[in-house]
Amino acid sequence: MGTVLASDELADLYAAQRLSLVRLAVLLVDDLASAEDVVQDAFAAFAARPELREREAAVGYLRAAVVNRSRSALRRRRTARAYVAPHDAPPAGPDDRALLADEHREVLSALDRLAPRQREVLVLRYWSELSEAEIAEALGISRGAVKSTASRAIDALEKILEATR
Amino acid sequence: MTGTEDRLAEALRARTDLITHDRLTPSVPPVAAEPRSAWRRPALYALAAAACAGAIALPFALSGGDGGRPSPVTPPTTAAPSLPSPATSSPSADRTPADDGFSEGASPFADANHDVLRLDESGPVIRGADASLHLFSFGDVARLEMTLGDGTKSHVDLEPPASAVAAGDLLPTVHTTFVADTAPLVLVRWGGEKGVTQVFDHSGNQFRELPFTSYFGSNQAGEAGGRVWSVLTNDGSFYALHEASGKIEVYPWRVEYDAGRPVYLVLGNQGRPLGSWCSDTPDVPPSYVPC
Repeated sequence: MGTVLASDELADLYAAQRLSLVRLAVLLVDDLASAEDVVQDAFAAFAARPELREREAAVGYLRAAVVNRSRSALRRRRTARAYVAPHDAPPAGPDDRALLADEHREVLSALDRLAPRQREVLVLRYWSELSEAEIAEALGISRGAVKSTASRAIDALEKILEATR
Repeated sequence: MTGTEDRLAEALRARTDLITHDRLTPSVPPVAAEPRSAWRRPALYALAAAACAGAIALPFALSGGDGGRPSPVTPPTTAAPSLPSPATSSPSADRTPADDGFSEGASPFADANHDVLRLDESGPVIRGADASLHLFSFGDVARLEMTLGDGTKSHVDLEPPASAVAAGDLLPTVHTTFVADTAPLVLVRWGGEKGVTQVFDHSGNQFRELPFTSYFGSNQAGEAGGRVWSVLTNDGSFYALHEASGKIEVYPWRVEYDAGRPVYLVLGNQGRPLGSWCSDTPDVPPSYVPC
């Protein structure tokens, strides 16, 4: 087992990684408030488990936790939406995407239409710029699965983008 | 990179560039917990031994004998009310417990004339021959490793829920597997039969956490003291469990919906209804009571 992060080092890690992890979560859950919650929960779980706080593995653990918790947040949101009558639906928050160029909005909308796992792989590969091995570790799947998922996801993305032209 | 990959990378960067430090809600880093004392380690060794035994027994337990449809059980000697036909019965405001003839805690009774809905015939189930589960200690962490029939492996480092930590119940059991929609899921129970159950999918992602509730966290009924576990989540989803004995299987007998909301449902076990529950409130998530 490697060296364990001390309390003050955890605070430094939080300061250094929070923004990056919130950005990752935003790409997966799309709204900033949920993304901040996901990251705070991930850090809280990390802080509560000294045995997980290995210095060398900290960022990898937190990244995996953010991906998993983002997926859980989406599931909860889908479940809630399934049972909320339309007139009871909460008002939509300000849409950040309105600030983006049409080209980027189009790509992100296409990304939204992919399966969650495909979206995660693409985000980790093309935004986090992780290797196949790192993505496999973060998602708990094999490298082969990462490769095939990424390939299928890019194909699907291309088709969606072509269809929207 | 291809054109699509370039476009994707640029769009992702553009999206995240909108998130800056000044937009984040001010917050403080979580306080780090002190390392646990070493007393847990022997407990985890015991847990690992129990998990190994469970992993060995799992294929036999989950195969459930010949794996065929369960036979209707012999009616008990005591007189029992009959089940209304699923084809003609529907939830109604004036239905009373006596109408259905069963309620929570009522003895199950035989009903051989009704077809049984078996979720495991339409959806994938982690069968003993197709999968294995292993729970072992990893350093000071309990890790659940799952291997599916196609060779896919995944693992999850289990985090005890706060209630289990508070109660000192830090020995989970990988209780069984069950079906939700089209995906096989795994249950990890903390703190005995009234404890919290964490539900994981086969990729090791926590699906949800189910607190014990009087009506749906578990239902006890069965022959010769046999225990039936069933789970109905707060959103009304229904799950069939395959108990380690291999003899008792619980599945939805009937679920009826009103505007997409399950309002009336019946648990069944090997040709017998076990109980019915109704929801008459628009709460989200819906709540149920025996009816």
